[in-house]
Amino acid sequence: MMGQDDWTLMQQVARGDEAAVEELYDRFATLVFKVARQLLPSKSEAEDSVQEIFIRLWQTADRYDPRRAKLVTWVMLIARRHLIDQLRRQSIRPAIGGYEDDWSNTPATDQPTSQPETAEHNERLMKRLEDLPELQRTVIERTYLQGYTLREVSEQLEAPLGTIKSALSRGLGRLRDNASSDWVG
Amino acid sequence: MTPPPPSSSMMPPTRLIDLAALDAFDLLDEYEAEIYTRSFHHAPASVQEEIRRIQAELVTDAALLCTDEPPADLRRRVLKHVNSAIEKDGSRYAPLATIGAGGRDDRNGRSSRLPVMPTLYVWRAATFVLAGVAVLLLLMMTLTQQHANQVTQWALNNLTSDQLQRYIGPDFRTFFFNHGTRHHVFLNPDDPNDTAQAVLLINEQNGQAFLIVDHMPNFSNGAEYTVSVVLGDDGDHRINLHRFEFQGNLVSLQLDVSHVPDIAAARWEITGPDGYVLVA
Repeated sequence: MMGQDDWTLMQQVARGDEAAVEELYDRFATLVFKVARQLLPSKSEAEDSVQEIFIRLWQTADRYDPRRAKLVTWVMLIARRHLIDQLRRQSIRPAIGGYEDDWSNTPATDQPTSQPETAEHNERLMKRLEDLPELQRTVIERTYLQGYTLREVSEQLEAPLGTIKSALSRGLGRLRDNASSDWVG
Repeated sequence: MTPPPPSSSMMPPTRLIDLAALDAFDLLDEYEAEIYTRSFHHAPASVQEEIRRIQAELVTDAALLCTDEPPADLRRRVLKHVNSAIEKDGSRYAPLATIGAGGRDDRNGRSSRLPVMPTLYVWRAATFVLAGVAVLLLLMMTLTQQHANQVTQWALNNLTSDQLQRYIGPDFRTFFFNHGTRHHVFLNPDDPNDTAQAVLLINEQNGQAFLIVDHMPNFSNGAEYTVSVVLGDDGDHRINLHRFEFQGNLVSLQLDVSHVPDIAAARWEITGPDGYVLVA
């Protein structure tokens, strides 16, 4: 059966098996933290959210269906849902280009040891966004980076929902294509 | 197997792939997400695999994620937090932990990792102690976790039929204690990720049935669901029995099925306001 190991793992997580929870953390915590850090204004909030997300993963573990999605997709979906809910509850939205802003204002203890390399990577990402057509860039910024729904963005930009959806799909595709070409060679 | 929704409402494979990113990032609205999921399950296996692959690549694409790494001590904090929540959840249901295999885990001095999550297995085991209330087992298999907690606790404390009646509805007692052959039918969603559930208790002698429904997807206020019975090998004879609204609470209905021929062989369906079969 496809995804048998992942399904078995999640069934064990659902039963509260310690080793299974540890494996789940070891496999996905970095990704979960990255998306949390991306959406939340501070590192400490991101860390707190990771804790809550893994609680949520345990609570929903028995609903995982490997036919519908790979486990990593499921985990990231649960993570994003939690984070968007959190943003809505707090009525906050991350600032665009917040990585560099946050680092310039955060205490030295919170800064990553490889800051120059990280900052360079983010400059590339932000530059890549700037290279997109304006609508695609705006839609990606507002949905993917700030957590607005497509409907909200459609209303904000006074554009048809179908247009917004197409812009997001195409924009994400171009971001990935551009990233691949940047890293070749 | 539930037949697919009308073809005009299904997404073709190309559309499924186009919207894979939106689905992965939970950006489809509720209605479109339901259509997407149904269409996904009726798509060819190769398309399903392609979508799974695309989505996994998208959500892990380094170009779309920040580069921060979690601090080393986060692992200890998260695992402690999760284990604490698991233990707290287990202790809330401590009386049930004595059912089945017991024992302590000497390694950590904590209670053994029984299925302290209120799984279906635990609820089924609990109900066997109740003589003459086999229907309670059927109810528990369809109740939400929260409801199952309450009913099982009542059961272990010698729940009376009066209490059940109060919880399920006044008609339940009348139905249950009527004489007559009763058989039950479980209705389940096609998509195992759907939480909709229903069970029918059918009294063939007096031509009455009792339906309990939970966790139907919420449509707009006032939206109606339809209970139907489908007859014939081709499913070409449909009898709509009842319409009801679902507001997020358990729904129980008594149905007159005296006019349904060959009820034992009938196939049951509950459809939503959009015509999709939700459970069958």
